[in-house]
Amino acid sequence: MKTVFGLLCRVWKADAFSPTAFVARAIIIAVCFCLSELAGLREYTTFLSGTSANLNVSWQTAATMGLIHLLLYVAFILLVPVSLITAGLLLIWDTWNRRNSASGHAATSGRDLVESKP
Amino acid sequence: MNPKLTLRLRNAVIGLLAFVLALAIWLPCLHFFFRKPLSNFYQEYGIAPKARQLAARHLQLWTDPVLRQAELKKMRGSNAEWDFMGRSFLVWSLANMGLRDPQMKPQYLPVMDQIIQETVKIEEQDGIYAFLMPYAKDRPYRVKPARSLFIDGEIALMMGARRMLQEEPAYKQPMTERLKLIEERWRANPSMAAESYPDECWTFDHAVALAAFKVADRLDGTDHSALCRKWIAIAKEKLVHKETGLLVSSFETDGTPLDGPEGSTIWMVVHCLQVVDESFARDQYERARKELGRIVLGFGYGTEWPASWQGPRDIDSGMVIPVFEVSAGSSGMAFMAASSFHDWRFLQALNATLDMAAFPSRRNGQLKYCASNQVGDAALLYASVLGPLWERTTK
Repeated sequence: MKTVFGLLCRVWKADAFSPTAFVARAIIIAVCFCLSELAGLREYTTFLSGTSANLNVSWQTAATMGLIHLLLYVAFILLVPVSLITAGLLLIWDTWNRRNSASGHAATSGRDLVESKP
Repeated sequence: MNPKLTLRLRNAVIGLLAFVLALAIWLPCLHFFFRKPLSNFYQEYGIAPKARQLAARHLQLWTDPVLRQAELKKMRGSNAEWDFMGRSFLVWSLANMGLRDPQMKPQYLPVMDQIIQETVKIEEQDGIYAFLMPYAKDRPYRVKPARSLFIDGEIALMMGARRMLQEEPAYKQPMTERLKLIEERWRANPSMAAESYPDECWTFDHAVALAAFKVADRLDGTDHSALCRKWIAIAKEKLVHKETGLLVSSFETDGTPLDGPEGSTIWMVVHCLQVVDESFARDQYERARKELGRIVLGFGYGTEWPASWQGPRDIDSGMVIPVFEVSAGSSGMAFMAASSFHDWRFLQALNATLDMAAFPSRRNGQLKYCASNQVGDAALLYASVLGPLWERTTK
């Protein structure tokens, strides 16, 4: 529990452009998309064909549910992988930067400095 | 400047650059996750797995009245035409499937008969307006008694497809009568135009009727080739959009164009013209492919309008996604044209889009696309099995 709390704290405090933040965003989107799938919102994407998935709810409600699923899906197939690749690229950049800095002088990388501040 | 702020800015710039680079890496790779072998969707011989799964869902709809009513109610809530076209596409699909796999005829024929008989019954009871959009009642038809080529042509082709799979004498006379009515109306008008809606004639419906004439010629030994040639000649003269060379979508009874070329129309038109005038159909397909077909990052789609003509967004175009101008209606119909003209590259790219963006849902060996509806799925089914019916017609 303490570990999970610590992890959440770290994610919360992470710099918006840090690898941790990108991974966290990818996880949040993936979880939201899974919840939308489990809730059956996929069916409501029929609004794209001009048809209502459920005649017991208004067209606007059905279309809104479909739109939510559509946006989460687009985020899932685009933003999740792109965020993970971004995190990977930033990690590579940080490692490379740290090595360069270590060979020059013993300064820590800027990203670490920002992230480590409370 | 504050060193912490400088670091934050530096990190933001690096983060954004990394994000843009990641996007550039991911976007060209995305289609690989949705690109399946074409044989999943279309096979020259036999029935592709997707076609079987789509058909299984439709066959269940037509054997389970509760399910069918629920599905039709959803569609009729938006457009009564879709109910009718869903029936037509399914009958035409089953005919092709039966020709591909004759062992399945006993399963397909009763469903085809049920659809045809129920459709004709509804038309007899409630009139042509049962399958038309409400604006059909806004003004009277110019030619009396009111008839819709949309309905006559598709029912005639449904009956013809059924008879091609296995002759059924009960359909011979009603099919001949419908075609005779169409022929009379064409001959009575120098523009050879027949109304689908009051003073509104659709190239789509004329092309279906032309195909129905060809099927009738093959079945009954009649000869409507002069009639068909004359229609094509008039269409080339009056219905071709100057900038693109494509046939327009709709026109008035005197042949005056209404809507210009549209993807939701032209893809089906070229498919039907294939049995009437192959070279003209191929020329139209190539033009449509150039003007309306797109492959972007491995994903194929159809636009509703060419660059040189912008029409109104309507029920046929479906949702149009801005920037890329992706039209649901045009993209769905593009499958048919790509299958007809064996444009495998485009068909595979369209399939990748279908699997990515149409939300496939598989249950108990049945497939449906959540973003689509019954008529959309039936049109896709037709695209995945078409071929044998036209082959037999032209043989």
